[in-house]
Amino acid sequence: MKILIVDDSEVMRRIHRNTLLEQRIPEDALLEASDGVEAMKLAIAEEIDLFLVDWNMPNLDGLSFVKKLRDMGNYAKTPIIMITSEAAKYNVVEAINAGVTNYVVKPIRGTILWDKIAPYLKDVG
Amino acid sequence: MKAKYVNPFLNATMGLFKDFLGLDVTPGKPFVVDDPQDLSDVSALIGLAGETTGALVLSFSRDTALRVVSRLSGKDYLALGSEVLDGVGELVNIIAGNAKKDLLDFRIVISLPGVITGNSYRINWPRGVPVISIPFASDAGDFRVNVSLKELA
Amino acid sequence: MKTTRSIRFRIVFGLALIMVLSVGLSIYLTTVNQRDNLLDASQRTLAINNEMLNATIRNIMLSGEAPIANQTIDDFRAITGFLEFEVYRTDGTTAFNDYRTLDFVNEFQDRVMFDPTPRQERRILESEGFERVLRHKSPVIIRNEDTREMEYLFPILNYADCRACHGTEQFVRGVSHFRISLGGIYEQVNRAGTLRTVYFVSVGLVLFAWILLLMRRTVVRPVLKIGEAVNVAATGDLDVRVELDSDDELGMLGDQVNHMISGLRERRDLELRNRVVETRLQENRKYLDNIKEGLLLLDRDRRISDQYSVFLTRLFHREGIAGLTLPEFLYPDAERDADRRRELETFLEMLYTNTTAAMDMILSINPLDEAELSVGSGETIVIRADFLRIYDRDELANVMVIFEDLTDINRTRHELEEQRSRREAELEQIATVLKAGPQVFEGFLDEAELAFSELGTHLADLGRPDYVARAFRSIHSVKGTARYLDFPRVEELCQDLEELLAEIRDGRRLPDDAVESAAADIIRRLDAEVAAVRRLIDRFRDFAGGGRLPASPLEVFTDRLTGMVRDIAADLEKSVDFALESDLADIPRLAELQPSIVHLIRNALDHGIEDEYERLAAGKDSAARLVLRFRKADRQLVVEVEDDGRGLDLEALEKRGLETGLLKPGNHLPSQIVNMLFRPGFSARQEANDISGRGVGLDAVKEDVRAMKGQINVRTAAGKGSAFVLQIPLGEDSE
Repeated sequence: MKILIVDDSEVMRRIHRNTLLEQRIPEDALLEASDGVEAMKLAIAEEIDLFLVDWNMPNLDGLSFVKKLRDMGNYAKTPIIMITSEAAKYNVVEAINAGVTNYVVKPIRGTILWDKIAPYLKDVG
Repeated sequence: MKAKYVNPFLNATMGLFKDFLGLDVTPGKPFVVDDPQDLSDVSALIGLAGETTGALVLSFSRDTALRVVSRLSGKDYLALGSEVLDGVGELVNIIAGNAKKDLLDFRIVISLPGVITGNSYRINWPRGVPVISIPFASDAGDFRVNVSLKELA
Repeated sequence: MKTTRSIRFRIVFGLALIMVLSVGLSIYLTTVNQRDNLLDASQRTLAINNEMLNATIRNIMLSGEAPIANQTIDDFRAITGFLEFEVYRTDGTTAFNDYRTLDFVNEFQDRVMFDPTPRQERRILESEGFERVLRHKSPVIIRNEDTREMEYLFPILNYADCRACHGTEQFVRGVSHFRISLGGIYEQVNRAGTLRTVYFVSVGLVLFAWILLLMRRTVVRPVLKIGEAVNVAATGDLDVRVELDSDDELGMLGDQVNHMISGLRERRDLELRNRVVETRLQENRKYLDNIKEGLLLLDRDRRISDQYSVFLTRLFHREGIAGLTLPEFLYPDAERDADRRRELETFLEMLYTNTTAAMDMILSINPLDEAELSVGSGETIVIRADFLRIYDRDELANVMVIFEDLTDINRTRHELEEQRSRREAELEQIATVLKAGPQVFEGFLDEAELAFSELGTHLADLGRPDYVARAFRSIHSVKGTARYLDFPRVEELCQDLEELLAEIRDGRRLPDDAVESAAADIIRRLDAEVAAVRRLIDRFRDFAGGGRLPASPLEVFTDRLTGMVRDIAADLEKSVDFALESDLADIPRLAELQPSIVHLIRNALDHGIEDEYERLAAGKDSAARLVLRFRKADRQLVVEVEDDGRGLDLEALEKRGLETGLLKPGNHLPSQIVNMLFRPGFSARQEANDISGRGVGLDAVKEDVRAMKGQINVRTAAGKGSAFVLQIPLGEDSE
């Protein structure tokens, strides 16, 4: 299983990492990217089972990254969770239309993040 | 500059500290700053534009910043490295995002926060409006929120 | 069963019949044919024999020796088969029975050619055939079936050779008569016949059997099989099949029958399924009719199907909603609710077409989560709609929408909230009373009781507009005080009364009996509330032991104002310092002035004073300063309410006055603009808020002051603040 964490903030990446490690996800399953471009490279090189993507990022922002990912046939149905500090309705609509699977709003508690991604990890094993 | 524009950010800040960091914060009485360019060690800037224009700056001392970010990430930071600055930026991002909710009734756009260190950065405060500082006290140390907004006529 | 027997029977019978007939006919025909042929052959043989005989006799006769002829004839007679052989003369007598011919011949020849020899016996033939021969001078054959004999009669002609002796007179000399038995032939034929019969019958039987078999195999059995299958099918068992291997027309017929049966079977299965579906639909219908939830089903093209619960129709006061889209159903007014329709449509679009987002993400923007809808007769309900996707295999088939009626729950929640806050308020009241002492409230109670009894006794005067206006103002004032003293029930009732008075004042209702009794009812309740508060106060007075000195009216008033300012400032998120400055310890006519002062203070808090940040931005202290000042000047009481807020923006006010028509076009002096404030109908803000009150403008203050024979003035500087100054004359005019 491979989980790709995409966030321009080292701190946030660390927090997500810790959350996942706490839930007994093996360390070698976690991959990180600090922007959309880097994330794209990793997505092409590896077979990612779950994406955690930050909404606001330089170079290639979260939403555009998601759209590009969905255009790639092999990632059409892969679960993508957006992490965002904005939860206004129009944002959610945008995200849904771009192909996002679910979202969490910052500040996030560890349990909330886990609850949102757990169902998809079950499928992967 | 009206309370209705400023209070959402103050509330979001207090909310973040309380809920996310588990720190008690108490706001002090706002006052006009003498030197608007006087900043603490680490500052995060949020720009506003729309029916009111200006900026909001969260300013932390080095120690406070370290303590806050350490608390946030669970790792003990000892120096103001890029990670710490990142963390500060994230915090302010969250504050700005949460404040947005209370500003939906107004036509305002919030810019992405940027983090700077030291005093050398020159903040473009709006002209003709003083800069007001709201001091905060917390268990992780004191910090302040400097704000200056100018409404369209 | 009868049928099958009949067909078999018929075929067997028919075939047997044909067989028997044809065999019989064949036997008969061949037998007869053979016999005839044999007879003919025999006849021919006989003819040949006869010719031979004829020739023999002729030749014998030529020799003239009758005995030889007789002998020959006797010898012939001895041959088997010859029953009779005789030669007759034309007169029917046997030849050689006398000497007539001999004599004739001798005579003819004129010599004795023939010596007399012994004669034959004389017999006479009597036969019809004999006559015929003589007549026709040609042979005659007579076949006698009964005796199985054949007679052959042929004329003995007077041949040229014979004429030499017999003369030329007779053409026919005699008749030769044979009679032979055909019995042998018959026997032979019969014998052959038996064989033939056996032969034919066996052939017939074989043919019969073979044809029967063939028919059975190719026709009867298939037909019977088909018939049997059809019979079984007719009894209801549609799983039967015709098993025919042949690929001829019957085979095809069998296939067709199979098709038909399977067609019937399919139809039966379909009908069964339909029945099941019908039953299920009915069950669904029963369920839908009875559940206490609003339920509807959207089909593939997002329209409401006819599967919706009765509860839904009751909830929305609408029937016959099948076929509508959800936005059409919930928001029938397309114009007014265009935005909400669009929002719902976007949401539905996502529900139907999006396949990536998790359900809870989509539901997080559910526009019908605690939504207010207007239904039927103008009622408003609060509902929450939950959406459920229903899949058929892998495709989205329906969306189920479940409505929860939250109207009551919301109302209950609100009521609970209110009860809770009321209870909290009561507790706070108690605390305040404990802290401040009961005097604070007594002033309010006096004012309230006065106002209520006044109105209660003058309900008939509600027909007079000026009275209504005054009543409105006094109730409004009581309401305000009740508000900051935290008497929410009194405040509420005052609000109701105020609204009723406003309707009368604005002409929306006529002060008829119904109105009067409504007003009386509210006043009754208000009296009850006030009495309750009085009792509370009395009890606390006893409890508190009445230790404090009764405060002066001014003290009481000031306490009251301080609390009010604090509360209102907190509400408005403003920082205000309130101070009292007074030259006098006792203020004359204070009670009459109180409502106006309170109104001016509220006005200042609401409109005059800015929030902290505005003030700091303007270089002021963050906390505003509000002062109530009492001065004595000559024989006048001067009351000032001064703030260091925004001051009056004369330009904006002028603009507003022009817009609303309160000011005529043209330039205006400041005093003119300020005067506009005191005109009835002027409101500083578009939305009148509760604090300043709708329709209670500064005109009310002006009226009150005028009633006291006083004046009102305004001092203001933009950005610096305002001061409202009342000058009330003192002396014997005071009342």
